[in-house]
Order: sequence, then C-alpha cells, then structure tokens
Amino acid sequence: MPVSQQLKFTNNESFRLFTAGVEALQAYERQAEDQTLRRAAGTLQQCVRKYPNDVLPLFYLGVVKTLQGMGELDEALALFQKVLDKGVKELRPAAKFHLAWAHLERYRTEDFVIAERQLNEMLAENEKQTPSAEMTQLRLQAETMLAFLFVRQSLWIHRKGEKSLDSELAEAERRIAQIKTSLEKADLPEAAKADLLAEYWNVKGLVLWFRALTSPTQQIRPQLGEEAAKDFQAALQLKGNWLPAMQNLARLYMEVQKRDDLAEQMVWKTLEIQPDSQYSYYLLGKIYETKHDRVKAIEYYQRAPDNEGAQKALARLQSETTPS
Amino acid sequence: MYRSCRASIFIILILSASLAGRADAQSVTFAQITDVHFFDAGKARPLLGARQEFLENRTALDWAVLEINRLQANGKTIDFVVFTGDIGLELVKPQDDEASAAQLAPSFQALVVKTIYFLPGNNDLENEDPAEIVRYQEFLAHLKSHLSGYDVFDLTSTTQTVHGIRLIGLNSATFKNDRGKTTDAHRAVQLIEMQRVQSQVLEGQPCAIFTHIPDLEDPYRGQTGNDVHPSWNLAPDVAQLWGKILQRKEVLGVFAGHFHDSNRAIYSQDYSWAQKKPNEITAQKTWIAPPLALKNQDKKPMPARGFFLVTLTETGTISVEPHWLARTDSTTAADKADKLIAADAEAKAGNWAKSAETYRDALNSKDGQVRAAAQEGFYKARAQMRKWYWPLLETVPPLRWATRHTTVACLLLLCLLLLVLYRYLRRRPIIEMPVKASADAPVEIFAAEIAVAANDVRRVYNYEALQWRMGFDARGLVGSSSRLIPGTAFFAGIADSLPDIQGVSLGKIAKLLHTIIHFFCWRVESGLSIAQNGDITAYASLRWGWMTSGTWVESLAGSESPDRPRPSGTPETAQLPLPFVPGPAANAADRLREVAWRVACDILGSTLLQ
Repeated sequence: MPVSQQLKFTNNESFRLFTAGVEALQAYERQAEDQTLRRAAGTLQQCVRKYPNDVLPLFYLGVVKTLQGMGELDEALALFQKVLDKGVKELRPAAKFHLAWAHLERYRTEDFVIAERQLNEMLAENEKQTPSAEMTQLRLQAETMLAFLFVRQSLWIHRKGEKSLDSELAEAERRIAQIKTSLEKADLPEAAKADLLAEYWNVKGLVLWFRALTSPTQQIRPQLGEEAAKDFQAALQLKGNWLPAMQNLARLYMEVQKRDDLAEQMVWKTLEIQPDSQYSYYLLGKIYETKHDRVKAIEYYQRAPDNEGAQKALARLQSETTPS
Repeated sequence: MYRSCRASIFIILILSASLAGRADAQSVTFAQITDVHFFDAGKARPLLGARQEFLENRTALDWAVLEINRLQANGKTIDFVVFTGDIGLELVKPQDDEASAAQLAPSFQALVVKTIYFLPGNNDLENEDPAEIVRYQEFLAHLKSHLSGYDVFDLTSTTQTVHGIRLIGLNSATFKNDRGKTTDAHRAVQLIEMQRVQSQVLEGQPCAIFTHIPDLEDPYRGQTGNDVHPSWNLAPDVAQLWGKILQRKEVLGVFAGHFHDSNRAIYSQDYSWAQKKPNEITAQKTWIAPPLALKNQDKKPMPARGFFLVTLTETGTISVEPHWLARTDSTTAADKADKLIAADAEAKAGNWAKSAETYRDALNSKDGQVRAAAQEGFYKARAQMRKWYWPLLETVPPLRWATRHTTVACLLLLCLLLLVLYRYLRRRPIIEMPVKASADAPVEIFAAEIAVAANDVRRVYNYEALQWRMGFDARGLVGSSSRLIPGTAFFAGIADSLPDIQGVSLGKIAKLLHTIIHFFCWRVESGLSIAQNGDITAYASLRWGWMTSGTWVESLAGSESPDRPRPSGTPETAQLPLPFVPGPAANAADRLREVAWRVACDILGSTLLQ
C-alpha cells in the first residue's frame, strides 16, 4: 500500500526516533515494564518536539500517554485530537477509537458519554469504508468497548438500586454473544483476535459479577463470582498484565469472594505495571477501609485525586474523622 | 484298409505341400530403382556439366543393374525390379521415342531379373500434364519391344500379384500441381486415378503401392534454401481418399522416389529433417528410395544415390536394404572429401576460422567437385571473418554460440532482463562488504549489525501490522519486501566448482552473469571509520546499477552513549569484544550497533521522507 504524503516523516532522524519509540512501546506490551513505557514516551516526545508536523509520532505518543494512565490522559486526548485535525484519512478511524479509549480511561461519567459518542461516530464512518480486515478489527474493538460502556452505565452503576434491570441484563448478554459470534467469523490475525477475546472475557466477567451482586438467590452468588473470576483469568491468559482485567479481578476478590489478601496482592501487581494508576490506589483504599485501617485508606484515596469513587470515599472518611 | 491309409498319407502330403507353398507365397523380394534421369540429365547445368551428368546417371543405372545381378548370383531371389519414375522423358521429342527407347534398353537387357515394372515420374510428362501419360505409355511400348524375354508392365495400368501380394501403381506424376496452381484443373483426373487405386485394394489381400512422388514435405528448399513446401498439392477430396486408402490394413507399404537430397536419413524413415512431420500412418508406411541420378547433388561431397532391395511379407514385415552408390568413378570417397565434410561441419558450428583453414586444405583436392565446393566454402568463410564483429565472436566463444542459437540466446537474454526487473521491483538491497575507512575497522561485524538492525526495524512494523493499531497495514511504511541481506560468497564457491566444457569456462560465465545480475540489484555500499578517540563514523549509499538512490553519513562521538538499549535478552557477556574500538568492550559493541541501527533506519526510511 503506498503511504500517503501526510504520513511521511520530515527527515530520517524523525523516522529513527519514531521507530525506536514504537519498538519501546512494543517491548512494554510484551513485558509490561514501566521503564520501557517511559522510554517509549521519552523517545516519542523528543520526536514530536523536534518534528511536530509528523503525524505518526503524534498518534503513537497519544497511545503511550493513554497507557501511562490518568496523569497523562489530557495530553493523550489533545494528541489524538491533533491527529484528527490533520485530516489523515488512513489514520482517522484508529485516532477516533483511541480518542474514545482515552476518554474511557478517565473513568468519569461525562467521559463515558463522550467515548460512547466517539465510538458510534467511528462505527458510522466505518460503515461507509470499503470492508477490510483492518476495518473489521476496529469495528469489533469499538463494539466490545461499547458493550463494556453499556455494562458500566446501564448495569454496574445501578447495581445497588431497587429497579429491575432484567431487560438491560438481557441486552448486555445479547451484545456479548454477538461479539463472540462476530469474533469467531472474523478473519483476523491471531494476535488481534487474542486481544479482542480478552476484551470479550473481561466484559463477560463484569456481567457475571453484576449477576453475582444482584442475584436474589444468595446461594448461587459465590458460584457466579467464581465464574466471573474465571472469565477475568481467561482474559489475562490471552493478554497478560492487562490492567483492566487485573483490577476487575482484584475488586471481585475483595467484594464478592471477600479475599482481601488476594485482592491486595493483585493490586500491588497492577501498581508495578503502572505505578501511578489512580484506580489501583482507589482499590487499595477500599481494601484498607475494609480492614478498618482508616489512615492507610485515606492515604491511598488521596493518591487518586481524579478518581470519582476515591474522592467520594475520601470525603466520607474525612467527614467521619473530623470532630464535629 | 491299406488303400485308405495310402489315401490319408496322400492328403497329408498335398496339405503339407500346399502349406509350404503358402509359406513361400507370403513374401516378395524386389529391387526398387528410381530417378535415373537418363534423358534429362543436368538440364539446369551448362552443356558440359549436363553431358557429364548424363554419363554419371547412365553409369549409375548400369551399376544398379550389375549390383542387382550380383545379388541374384549370390543366392538372393529377386522377384522383380520396379522403376518408380523419372527416366526424364520430358526432354525427348515424341518422334525420337523409339530411338530413345533403344538407347535406354541395353542397360535393362543385362538384367538377370526378368520382371520389370515401370511407373511414370513428373519428369516423364511434359509440363507434368496428365494427358502426357499416353505418350509415356507409347514410350514404354517401344522399350518393351527392345526387351524381349522380359515381362515389362506399366504398374499404373495393371495390377500384378506376386506370391499373394498385390502390386498397385499410383500415378502421382502430376501431384505437385505446380504448387497448387493446377490443383483444380487436375482434380478430376487425379480423383479418378485415386479411385482406381482404391478399387485395386481388395479386402483381405495384402498389397504394396508404388508411386513416384511421396506424400511428404519436399526436402528440396529451392534456391533460397528456405522454401518449405509439400510434395503433393491435391484437392481436399483426393487427399482425403488417399488418407482412407493408406489406412487400409491391406496396404503394407508405399514405395516412392523423387527426392534428390544427400541427407541419407531421408531414405530411412527418419523425419527429423522435415519441418512438418507426416502423420503416424504415413510415416510408418512410406519408404523413399534414393535416386540414381546425380541431380541436385553434383556439389555434394557425399551424394546419396543407390537403390533399395526390399523384402515384404504378407503380414506387413518390411525389410529395406539400401545399396549406396559410392562414386561412379571409384568405390572410395573423393580426394579430400573428408576435409570438405569437416569444413562444412565447422562452418555449421560457426567456427569460421577453422572452417576456412580446412576448406583451404580441401582446395588441393584432386577431385574437381571437391575443389569447387571447397572454393565456395572458403570464400564464404572469409566473408564471415571480415565482418566487423568477427574478432569479438572469435574472442568470446559464448557470443559465437549466441549467434548460432539466436532463439535460445534471445530467450536467455529475456530471462536475464526479467530477473533484473524482478530484482529492481523486489527491492531487497544486498549489503556489500563495507570499506575500511580506518585500519582495523570491524567491517564484517558492522555489515552483520546493519542486517540485524534492518531486521529489528522490520520486526517493529510487522508487529504493528499484526496489531493493526494504525488501522492500516503498517508494513507499507517500510515496504513489505524491503529488507537488507548480507552479501554471500556462496555463489562464487559454486561458480568455481563448475567445469570447463570444450575449453569454455562455465565458472567464468556464471560469475560474469552473477556480477551483471548483482550490479542490477539494490545494494548498500558503505564504509566504516573508527578514530583513535573512539568516534565512529559510517557512510552508506543505496544503489541500483549505476544510480545512487541516497547517501547517508552517521557518526557517534566517543563520549556518546547509544540511545537505543541493547535488545532485551542479550546478556552483556554475549557482547562481541571489540578491542580495536576504543572504550570499554561492551560499550564499544553497543555503540557500533547504534551506528548500524541508524544506517539501517536511514536506508529503510528513505522512501518515507516528505
């Protein structure tokens, strides 16, 4: 495929820095060592600083920033927006998808809404494209992410409510089944298929977890929890060191299976991969709150300033400790 | 009882005799002579030549008669002699027929075989006109009158049966039809003749067909030497009818003459000479006897002349024994005829110098014909050697070979061009051994590091292609087939082991071709220099043929550390010690790798710059 002029590099140094950055990013994806991610960020940052007009370094720096998590997400969003503004046709669907992903990583209700909108826009644009394996993959990635958003927005946040969510549950299960069927039919490279299957098991695990929390029959809850744990583990087998699945598993251990030791162990593992993951600190706060160690719980909640749940819990704990 | 026993014995004896008689009747042996050109000898030659040729032809006929007599005297039973046309009657005036018959008869009068069959040839009918057959028959009547005591028949007028085998004559004297110009005009009479032959082939009775012109491509290529044409030019229905006749199982063989070519293969059912091969049945059943006349072979050192002795069995087994006329003046070859043959062979092989030399030797021949042919060949060879390109051909044998085998040479050249084009489009640059720009620069390791680095770059984009993170095939960025391959001396090893054939060094030719192909490959020409203070500088050019696509210079100061870390999984102890690169050994290797990585990125990214 001939490369369009907009994707080309200013000079050979830009190409070299970009290649070295992507190589480091791939090393991170294989080994999940934070230092390789930092090296990827450093090299790509240098490339973007020296050659701001080159599109591919901008895009990949956005990917790296998204992986770096909460503190870097604003920059990631700005980078993806820049890529979209450059109007490079080949990169547009991927940039849209990653923009949605960055919003999702912020883990805030308003960002979920934006992410959903971005994904739907991407799918609508995808419909107009000539069908190709790349487009199929992006569509499946978007559909999986939308399924996650649906589970998160329509089921998860209402799990403590009184309203019956049977129809939403049925819709979630329908979407998941559809993803599985599409995945089985799709002619995709094995690596890409494995990533998508990991996403599938993760969302499926979330639905089971929801059922475990909301089932009227107390007796089947542990069994549903066990099945959800198996789904998260299946996701991790396909995509080792994948933070969302690890964090979900940690939270499941804590909330459903009441195994704080396993949960804490898993959370510390996630912090090795992403030392400033605010969601992981939020989970640590919850674990220590369960253990009635309010000081440590407050300390961890404080290390997740952008996490809505952590801030609410922090406010609650602080109000409880503040003398009236 | 006694009478009955005697009767039984009698019956058995009769049956035995009858069966034995039948066994004898199952085969015939005959001598086939043809194309004596008695009356039209040398008709296209000057008078003296024509006269000489007449003597040659008459002597050949006499020789054939004597040879047949000798065979018979030696115990061979020859049932009949058949003459398959071309006495050369076309040049005899009708009023001279009787005298001409008298002139020809003495040769036949010496024949001990008492049955002679005649057939007309195309040179027996004036203008090959079918109506002239009457005149031919009249001549034959005159000849017969001089051959009392002989059974003389025109086989195209009567069918004979000898030992149970029918002998059928086919008058093909007009079948050339002047290259098809008279096909329509002669169609009716030729169809009648063909129908007559068809009617003579009887169910269950084996037969042999005798004719003058065979249904084959004519080996005579005209004055130009390129005139390929069939001998017969019949109307489709006539040709179709012949096809049917030939397919009849009763037809054991077709015996013809007419050809005057010195290639003896023609007379042995070997059709390698024919450009249009005959069909299987024609090839299998047709036999061409060599001519007696010298016609068209007067300049040939080894003319093919003679007759056939044929034994034909009822079951279709045919034994053909050619008897060659060595020379009319001698039983040995002409003086220095062997030189002439050798010179002809050299000329055919394009070895003009050798050919000229051998022709010069043959110029001293005592034989006039050999001298004439040698002179002609010598001038031809000299003319070839005076051409401007001859010194080149003389020096480079493969070129000489190419001029002789132009089709194969063109095909090879085309293959070479396609290969060069393929290598251009495939764009897989070969890394040439870098030049040592400073003493002890580790160029071999540097070349290997460039190849490894290029693979690393490719791996990055292949991984992205698998991930499809960009939403398009990332391999397109560096070109799906773009890679750097280290050079190899493997081919040189193979070329060295190739033998020389006929003084031609195949190894050298292979190396030359390899160098040409290599020149038209994408290649990386580079150099490496390492200063005393540890500064590493390298340059690289990407080239194809004489063109340079890009040149890059990369350097790393002695104080600089490499940007790119060592690939994971490579332990420090595995680093190559490079004591000649100033600085710590491991660091030196990493710095060399860094420079190689930069060079590889320069080359692979060269098509990606704005």
